[in-house]
Amino acid sequence: MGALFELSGVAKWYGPYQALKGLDLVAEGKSFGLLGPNGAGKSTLLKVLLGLIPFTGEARVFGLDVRRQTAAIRDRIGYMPERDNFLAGVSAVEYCVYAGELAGLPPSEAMARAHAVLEFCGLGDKRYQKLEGYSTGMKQRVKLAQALVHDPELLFLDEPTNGLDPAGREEMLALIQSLPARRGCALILSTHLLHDVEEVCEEAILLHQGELQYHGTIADLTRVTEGSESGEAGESGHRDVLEVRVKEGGERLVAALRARGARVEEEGAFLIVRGAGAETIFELAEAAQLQVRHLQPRRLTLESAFLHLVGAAERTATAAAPVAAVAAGEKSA
Amino acid sequence: MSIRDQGYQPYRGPRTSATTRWGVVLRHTLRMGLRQPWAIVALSLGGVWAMGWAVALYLSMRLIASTPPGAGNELAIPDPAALAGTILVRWYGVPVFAFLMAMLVGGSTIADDRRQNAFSFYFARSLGRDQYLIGKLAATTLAVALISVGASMLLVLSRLSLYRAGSDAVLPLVLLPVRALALGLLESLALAAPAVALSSLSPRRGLVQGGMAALFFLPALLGAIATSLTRNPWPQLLSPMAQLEAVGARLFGDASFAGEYPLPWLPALGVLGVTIVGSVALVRWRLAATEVVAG
Amino acid sequence: MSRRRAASAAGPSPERQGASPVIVAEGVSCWYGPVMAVNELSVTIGPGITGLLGPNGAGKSTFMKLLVGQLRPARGRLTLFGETVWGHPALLGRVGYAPEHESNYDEITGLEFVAALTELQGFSPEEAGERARAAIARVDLTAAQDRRIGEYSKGMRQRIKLAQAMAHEPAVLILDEPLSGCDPLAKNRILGLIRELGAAGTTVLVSSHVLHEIEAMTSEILMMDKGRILAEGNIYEIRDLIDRHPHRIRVVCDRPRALAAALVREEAVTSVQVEAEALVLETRRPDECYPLVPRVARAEGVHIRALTSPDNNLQAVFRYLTEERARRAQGAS
Repeated sequence: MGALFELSGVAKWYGPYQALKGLDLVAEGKSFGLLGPNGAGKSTLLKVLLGLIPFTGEARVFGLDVRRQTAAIRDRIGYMPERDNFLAGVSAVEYCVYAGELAGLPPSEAMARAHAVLEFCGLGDKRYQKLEGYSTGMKQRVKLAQALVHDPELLFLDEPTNGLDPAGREEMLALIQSLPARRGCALILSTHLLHDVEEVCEEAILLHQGELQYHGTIADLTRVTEGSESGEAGESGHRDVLEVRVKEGGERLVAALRARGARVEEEGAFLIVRGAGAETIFELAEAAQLQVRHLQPRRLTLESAFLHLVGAAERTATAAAPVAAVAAGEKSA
Repeated sequence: MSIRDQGYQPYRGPRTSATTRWGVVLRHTLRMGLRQPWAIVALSLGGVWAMGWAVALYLSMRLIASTPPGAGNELAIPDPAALAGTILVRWYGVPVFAFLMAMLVGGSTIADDRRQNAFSFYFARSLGRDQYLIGKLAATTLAVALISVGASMLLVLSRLSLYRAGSDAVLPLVLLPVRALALGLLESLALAAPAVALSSLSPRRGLVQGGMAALFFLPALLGAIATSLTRNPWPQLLSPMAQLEAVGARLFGDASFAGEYPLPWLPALGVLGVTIVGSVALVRWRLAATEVVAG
Repeated sequence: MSRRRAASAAGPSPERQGASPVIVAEGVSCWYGPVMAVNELSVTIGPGITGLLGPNGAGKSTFMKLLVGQLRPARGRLTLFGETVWGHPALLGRVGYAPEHESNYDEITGLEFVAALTELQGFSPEEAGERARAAIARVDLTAAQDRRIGEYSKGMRQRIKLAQAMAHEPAVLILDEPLSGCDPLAKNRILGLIRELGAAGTTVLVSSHVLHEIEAMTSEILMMDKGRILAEGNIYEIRDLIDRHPHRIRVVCDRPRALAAALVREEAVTSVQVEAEALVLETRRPDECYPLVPRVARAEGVHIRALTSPDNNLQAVFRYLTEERARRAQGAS
C-alpha cells in the first residue's frame, strides 16, 4: 500500500496568515507524535488530512487523494477530538452504534462492533448508562471507542489524556499503545504531554510556525540533540552531564560540589551536575552523610529535545521576549 | 477495571454509500426527538384531538344517513374536503400540536449538537453537511407529519368508510387523501424548516424554542388584528397559518375554511416557499461555518 | 537560559524542616451537601514548593479553596501564618490563588484583568498597573497584555492567571493545575517561574495530574485520595515507608559480576541479579543500602556509571500507595 500519508508542498492560508508553509512529508510508520507549540499548524494539518479544508499542494492518505476521495479516506480514519463531542441523551452503546453507522457500517455490524469496542475500552456494564453521568475517565474511553468502532486504519488522537488522573492516564496510554499491535491501527497523537508521546509513539512530526521542523524516530530526535547538548557542556572542558538526586539535604551536596569547581543547577528534584564525575559525587555525598538515590548521565527526553529545537526559533521570533526578560531582571533585582 | 480483548477481526464487508447516510441521521434524530416526554404529549394530544373530530364527523354522517331523503335537507352533508382541510389548517385543528412537535424536535436538534460540540462527531466522518441537513430536516418533517398528516388521514379514512353510493361524488373522495397528504406535508415542511433553521442559530434550546414560538404566533396575531381592523386580507400574509389556509382553500377548492378575508393563494404559497428555501439556506450557511477540528 | 541563571542565583533552597510552618490544617473537613470532599485533614506545610497530587475527586481543589477562604471548613481549624483563614480577609493579601477553571473575563485585556484584581488587593490604580505589568513580564506575556483574554490560547490563560496570583507578591501561592493545557514552551516557562518563586522562599502549593511535572518542581509532596491525606513529605521517605514492595536499585558499572559478588555478602542486600552491563539489587533497608553501593564499588575498584531505582519515581509511588489503600479497604470490608 505504500505510505500511510504523503504531503507535498501542502500550504494553507487563512487570509493574510499562513498556517502551513509548504509541508513535504512521507509518513510510513505506525505511530506518530504530532508536536508543536500552539499555532504551529497541528490542527490545520489534521484538517488537511481529513479533507475538511481547501489547501494548496498535494496530500494523499492510504495512497488516496485527499481532495477527490475524501469519503473513502474518512471511512478508514478515526478521530478522537480533545473536547467532548457527545450527543444529548444517549448511552455509550447508542452513541457508538450511531458512530459506526455514520461511518458506513450496516446496522447489525455497527451494533456488534459497538459492544466489542466498548468492551475493549473497558466500559463494561456502564455502557448502557447515559453519557451525561460519566466521569472524565469514562468519557475519554467512550471518545476513544467512537473513534475506533468503524475499524479505522488510522486514528487521530487529540490530547487523549486530558483531565485524567495519574492512574487513568496510565490506563489510557496502555490502551492507545496497544492499538497498532492489536488492531493494526496506525496512530497520530497530538498532545502537549511529551511524556505521553515518548511512551506511545515511535516517530515524531514536529511543526513550528507552519513549517516541518523535524520528522523521524524519537530515538533519533533525542540523539541529535544529545550531541548538541554535550557540545554545550564541552565549552567548560567536561564531557559528562550527570543528573543526581539525593534523599535529602541536596543543598549540602550542591555546596560541596561547587567548592570542587563543578557547575550545579537545581531542576526540581534533580541536581544537574557538570564538571564532576560519579566518583567525586559519591565521595562528597559520603563525606556529607548523604544518600545518592539517583545518578545517571543526562538522558535527553523528548521534552528537552523539543525545547531545544523550538525554543531557539521561538526566542528569535518573538521580539517581545528580550523585553520581558529585561523586565523580569529588573523585577528580581 | 481491566482491558479485555478476544482477538480482533478487522471489518472486510461493504460500507454503505456516503450519499445515503442522511438516513442514519434521520433515524437517530427521530428516535431522540420522540424520546422527549413533551413530544409524546404533543403526539397524544394531536391524536386525541383528531379522534374527536373523526367521531364528530362520524356522528354527523350517521345523523344525515338516518334522515330520510326529501324530509327537508337542512342538514347538508359535510363536505369531506372542508373537514380534512379544516382540521389541518384552522387554529382549532392540529397545527398547534404540529407546531409544538416542530418546536420540540426541530428546535432542539442542531442546538443540542452545537452545545455538545457534536459537529466533530459528525463531520470528521464521511458525512457531508448536506447529508446531515437532509437527515435533520427529514426527521423533523416526519415527526411533524406524524401529527399533521396522521390526523388528517384519520379523518379522511373515517370519511371514506362512510361512503354512500349514489349520494357521494366519487372524484372528490378519491382525491381527498392525495390533497390531505399534500397539504399535510407542506404544513410539516413549513413548520420543520424554520425550526431546524432557528436551532442552527443558537446552542441554547430554550432560546431557540422561545424564538420560534414568537416568530410563529406574534406575526399571526398582529396579522389577524390588522386584517380585522383594515378589512384587508394582506396583513395575514405574515401568518404561517393564514398562508396554509389560503393554500388549503385552493387545494381543496373550498373557500369556506380560508377565513372571512381570504388571502390569495399564490402569494401565500410563495411566502411558504421562501420560508422553506430560506431556512435551508440559513442552515447550510451556518453549517459551512462550523469548525470540526478545534484550534 | 533564564531559568538556570535564576536557579543558581537564588542559591540553595531554605531548609524546610527548620522553617516554621506556614499552612496548618487540624482535622479539617468540608462537604458539599452529603458529599465529603475533605475528610479530617491534618497537615503542616512549610515554605518552598509542595506538590499536591491525587486522583480526580480526591479533594485537591476543595483543599485549595479552603486555603484561600472561598470555602468554610465544616469542622476543624485551618490557619495561615497562625491565623484562621475563614473570616480573616486581610490574610488573603498574603495569598495568591490561580484556580483550575478560569472565570469569564474574555472581554477585557490581560493587563486590565491583572490590574483590576491587584487593585482589589488594596493597591492604588497606578501601583496596581505597575505591579500588573511587572507580573505579566515575569510570565512573558508583555507582548500580548493589551489583547483580549478571549483571544488567548490555553497556555496564555494559564500564564495570565499566574500573573494575577503573584502580582501582589504574596508569601503563599496556591496553584491549581497551572500547567494543564499548556504547550511545552509555556509549560517550561511556568515551571521555571514556580521554581524561582520556591527558591526565593515563597510557599507554593501546586497540583498536577502529570507526575513528571510535579517531579520537575519538587520532591516534597502531599498525596490525597478520597478527601484524606494518603502521604506527605519527601518522595524518598514515602517510598521507604512502603515496605510491601522491596526497593530495587539498578547499578550500571564496568564489572557488574565483581560488584554483585561483593554486594551479596552484605546483610542489607536481599538479592542481586546480574545483567550484561548492570546489576539490579533488592533491599528492604534502602537507607543502609544506598550509601553501601558506592562504598563497596570503591573498595572493589568498580566504576559506577549510573545508579537508578526503577520504582523510585512518583508514578510508582503513587501506584503503590493507591494499591495499598485499596487493599486495606478490601481487608476492612
